[in-house]
Amino acid sequence: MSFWIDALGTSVTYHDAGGIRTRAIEAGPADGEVVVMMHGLSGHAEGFVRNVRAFGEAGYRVYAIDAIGHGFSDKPADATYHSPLFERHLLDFLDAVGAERAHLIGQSLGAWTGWRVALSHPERVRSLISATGAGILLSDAASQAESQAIHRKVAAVTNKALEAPTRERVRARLEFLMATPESVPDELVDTRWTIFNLPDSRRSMAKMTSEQTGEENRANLLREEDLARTRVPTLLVWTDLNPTVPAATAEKAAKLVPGARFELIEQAGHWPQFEQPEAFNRIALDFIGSN
Amino acid sequence: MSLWTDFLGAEVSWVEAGGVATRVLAAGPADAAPLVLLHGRGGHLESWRANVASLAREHRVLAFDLLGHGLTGRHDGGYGIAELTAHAAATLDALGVAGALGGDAGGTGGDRRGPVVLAGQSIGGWVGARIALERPDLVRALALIEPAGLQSESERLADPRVAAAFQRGGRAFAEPTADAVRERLSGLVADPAVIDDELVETRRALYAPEAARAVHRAVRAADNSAALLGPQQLATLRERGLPLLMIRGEHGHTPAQVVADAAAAAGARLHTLPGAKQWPQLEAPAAVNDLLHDFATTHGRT
Repeated sequence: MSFWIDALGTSVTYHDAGGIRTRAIEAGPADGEVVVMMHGLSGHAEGFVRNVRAFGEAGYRVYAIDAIGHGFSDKPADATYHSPLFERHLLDFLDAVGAERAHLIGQSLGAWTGWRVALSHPERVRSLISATGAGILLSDAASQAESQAIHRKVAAVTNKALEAPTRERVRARLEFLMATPESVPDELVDTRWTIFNLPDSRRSMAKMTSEQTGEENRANLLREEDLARTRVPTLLVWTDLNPTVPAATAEKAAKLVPGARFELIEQAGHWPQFEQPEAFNRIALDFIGSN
Repeated sequence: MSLWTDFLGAEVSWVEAGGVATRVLAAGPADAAPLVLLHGRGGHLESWRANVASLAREHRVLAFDLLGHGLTGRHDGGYGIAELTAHAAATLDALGVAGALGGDAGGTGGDRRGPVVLAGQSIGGWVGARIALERPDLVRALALIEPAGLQSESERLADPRVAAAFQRGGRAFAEPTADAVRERLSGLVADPAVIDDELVETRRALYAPEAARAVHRAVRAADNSAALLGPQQLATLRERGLPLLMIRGEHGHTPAQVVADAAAAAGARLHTLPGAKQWPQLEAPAAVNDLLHDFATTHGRT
């Protein structure tokens, strides 16, 4: 019924990930297999507040983190917020918590980051879940146009909330993500509003968004040949009402990944783990349990 | 507006204290002077929801669940003030308040004050005073909010209003229904409107295990006559020159004269907050935060 009650029994801690102070909501036994949960663009660990405890109770050592430039983690002003920066931060976080290998669960931008790490460091990744993941680029002309349109749309709606972070604009950005406005509780708006108004957010987040969604960073997209050379067990979790990449495109992408699974969660938009936490936890725990 | 946003950005973790995993919430600059908050009977650190963020602007605020309370672990022994005090002192040791946070206790100079400003409500105040008596190396200044321990249990329950509240409040320790928990919480405050659904549901979740409720029953049943804060103990605190602040609610259960006498005996500054009852930290947060902020700024480690 509230974030605090959802998270009762979890810890909120700060780790030094390669010099970046990194917030994590964490749970589970110290000797459990590590699971890292990664939010989307302009998000924060609260996106997984309905999931952390369930994974801890299932025996995993789970960390939902604030990415570099996000939430209560450090937001260096002089960094270039392209994919390699997020990948480096994730690898540094794995080192910081002593995880040689981890299950990576990414939503939107978090999935893009996780997938790049699965390609560059497959030895660090036990399994990969892309939940309404960003970054996938299929080769046909229609998919290319769709991808560019999505990046423009995400940049526009995100910038609108960041340039003047009132509660109304923050709520509008969050309602863009969800299947229904009722899925956006006031405490989520308040949490994000507080984060967007932190001094370092005001300084760095607009630059971060513009670089992350920018033309140059498209060089780091996951193209068909990248999907085909993925060597870790992969699950794509999509939704029927995703406001970015449609489920049909994602299902086509899944077919290009060797051995990948595809699951559809209904009555959800861009945050299936938050909008339909029970279905998401069941599907995700079943998948990582089989790997 | 919600517990999560009240505590947003704070750290929540467990430290081992005397073999017991102890839930600690920490907020504020890591290098600021420590201000420790101890909750009351049947309570948990969420009791400080209206205080942590405000006080953490300038202090290192540490709030933890007492032995067997909230999400702190339980032990095999009893749950008297002596056991709660030993665990709370062990928690301060485990938090390294005397070392890493720069306490000057045990220094070669004349300053033998400890590193921590302690603020406790109800039995948290009682525990804080016992720590100040038994472990002066830990405590620099002490704030008591509606403290327990100024009267014996039989004296306390001789007041029919207190006895009735004791009965009503005890229902939640038998069966933690939403009604029983709300009644217990409402009994602590003059205006029940400050008790919201989230606080009731949080406490229900914490009371859900039978073992948790057994602790609360044991806390009630303990014979603490040897640990009372009588004239002699209060005089000891005064003679040691320990800075002391007392805060009571206008409608609090402890008779005004008892509190005034205790404050005089201990050399404490006494503030009575109009309109508040047993939980002034939630009922009158702005006033309590101002008082604690000024007190911790004046007397805290610099």
